[in-house]
Amino acid sequence: MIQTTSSPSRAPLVALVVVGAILLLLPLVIADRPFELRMATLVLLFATMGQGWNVLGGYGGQISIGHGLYFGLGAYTSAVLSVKFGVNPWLGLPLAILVPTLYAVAIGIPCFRLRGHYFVIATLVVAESMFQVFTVWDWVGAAIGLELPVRPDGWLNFQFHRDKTPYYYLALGLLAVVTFGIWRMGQSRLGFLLRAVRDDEEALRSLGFSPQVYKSIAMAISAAILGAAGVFHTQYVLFVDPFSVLGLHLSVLVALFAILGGAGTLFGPILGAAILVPLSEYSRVAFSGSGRNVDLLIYGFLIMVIAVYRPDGVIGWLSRSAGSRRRAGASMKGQGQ
Amino acid sequence: MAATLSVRQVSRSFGGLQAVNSVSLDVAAGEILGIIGPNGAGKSTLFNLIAGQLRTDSGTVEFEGRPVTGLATEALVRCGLAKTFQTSRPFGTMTFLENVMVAALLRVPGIATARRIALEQLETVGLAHRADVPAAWASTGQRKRLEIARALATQPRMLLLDEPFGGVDLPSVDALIDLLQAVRSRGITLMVIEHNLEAVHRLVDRLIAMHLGEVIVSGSPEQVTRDLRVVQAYLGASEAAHA
Repeated sequence: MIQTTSSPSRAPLVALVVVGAILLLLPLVIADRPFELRMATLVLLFATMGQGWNVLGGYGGQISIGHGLYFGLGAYTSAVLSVKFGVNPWLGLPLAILVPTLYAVAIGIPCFRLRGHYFVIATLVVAESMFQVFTVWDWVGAAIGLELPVRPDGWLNFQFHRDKTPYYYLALGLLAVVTFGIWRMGQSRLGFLLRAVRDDEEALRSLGFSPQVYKSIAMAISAAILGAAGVFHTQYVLFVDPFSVLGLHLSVLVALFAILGGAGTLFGPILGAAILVPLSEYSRVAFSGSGRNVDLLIYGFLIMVIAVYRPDGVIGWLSRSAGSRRRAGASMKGQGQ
Repeated sequence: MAATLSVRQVSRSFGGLQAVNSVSLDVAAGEILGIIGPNGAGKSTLFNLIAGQLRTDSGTVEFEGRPVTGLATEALVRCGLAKTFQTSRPFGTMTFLENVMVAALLRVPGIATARRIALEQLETVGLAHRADVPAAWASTGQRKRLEIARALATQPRMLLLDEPFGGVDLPSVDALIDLLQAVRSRGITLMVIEHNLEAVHRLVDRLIAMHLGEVIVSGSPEQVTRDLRVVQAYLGASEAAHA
């Protein structure tokens, strides 16, 4: 949490340039290694989703474990437009972002009346009921899902069959845009008011603001980012079904990435995805067929570790030493009181 | 003189308890009105009814001639009627400055302007040197002043203060009285609940005593604190008879 309040200094900027350069050049090394390229792409995708979750959950303090829903709605809208109406994915993108965004705002109206644990439960129930709807809705393929028609390779069709590197760069671009936007948001009026919502809604009300308004805005931004990530996923795997884009595990993972990395911090979700996605992928390989649930075991274990030792995530842990130095200085300054 | 705030026959009960019973009062523009009374007299409930944190059972509240009965807290603050909490509630992950900036953002859109206004308000309450310190470390006295700075940053024309002297140590009382006088001299009307009779005596222009949900006496601080009914309310009738 310290991260969001600290004034900008030079060190993060240098780190950002270095990491950015590595991410840009990474495909040169792994372009002919499909497993690694896919994993890197997934890290970027999940990092984007974590960023989206973080707007509402981290900055706004409204913990949702139903964010897979907005990812799924984006993924399904894109797939339906493509399969049923033959719409180009780029043209379908705005609608595929709009659908989850509007749905999220509508859902927020009743859900934001709930606080704390009750809000968390409501997000879970809403997402899970939509999952059930999609498993029986024949028009969208019910439990079997929809397969997208294969079109010629290229940027125009958002499909790359021989070389998957463009997907990597698309995911990187999406993450970069989202991260930049959230950075700006963090320093804006909205960013301030969201942190105030997280800290004390009643106090914010006593200063003339309606917390509900800012929670709804955060919800909309959050869902839009998840929706965009869903569109990417559909075009990447050319397939949607309820289990892969609306399953509960997605909602949990998205929240977990942000929380493990550091909720409410700009780079927390990226760090969380960078740690957890490879962990999951490699454990799946190591334990092969039966390994599908081993990654969940590891996640469960990590949740316990975070809850007990580092509630502020890896970022909080990293900035701990720097933070305590800053705090010591600040309290000296305040001693004159 | 036109009343800034006028409360007419406001009542509220909780189950069988009549917490506020048909209270009427006026606060003149630029006045400092104090409210005293033993615990359970209904002072805080009255405040919460005026500030929109509780709904009235009956009665009306007018602020600057506009009916505001039943308006939500945030709407009242936008109208210019702000209230501080009895237990102050700073935004814990923010600095003193950021706390006040949030309040300033109610009237100005830009962060830079909000920062400037917030600094001014911290200066007003004597907390400018704490600007970049996390508000979570504030002492009780600092919390009270931070709360006032935040309320001022919303640019109110009237301020309801719930026990501003509670937990404030003796040397700071004078400074706080000076601060509140300065706030009034900017044209902000004040209504203050306070248990510290000595501080109230020096601060307010007029005093109202409440007991069991009703206004029992209204007048100058000297009149009210000497009134037998007030003494009885505080001590209980039997002890007062011996006094």
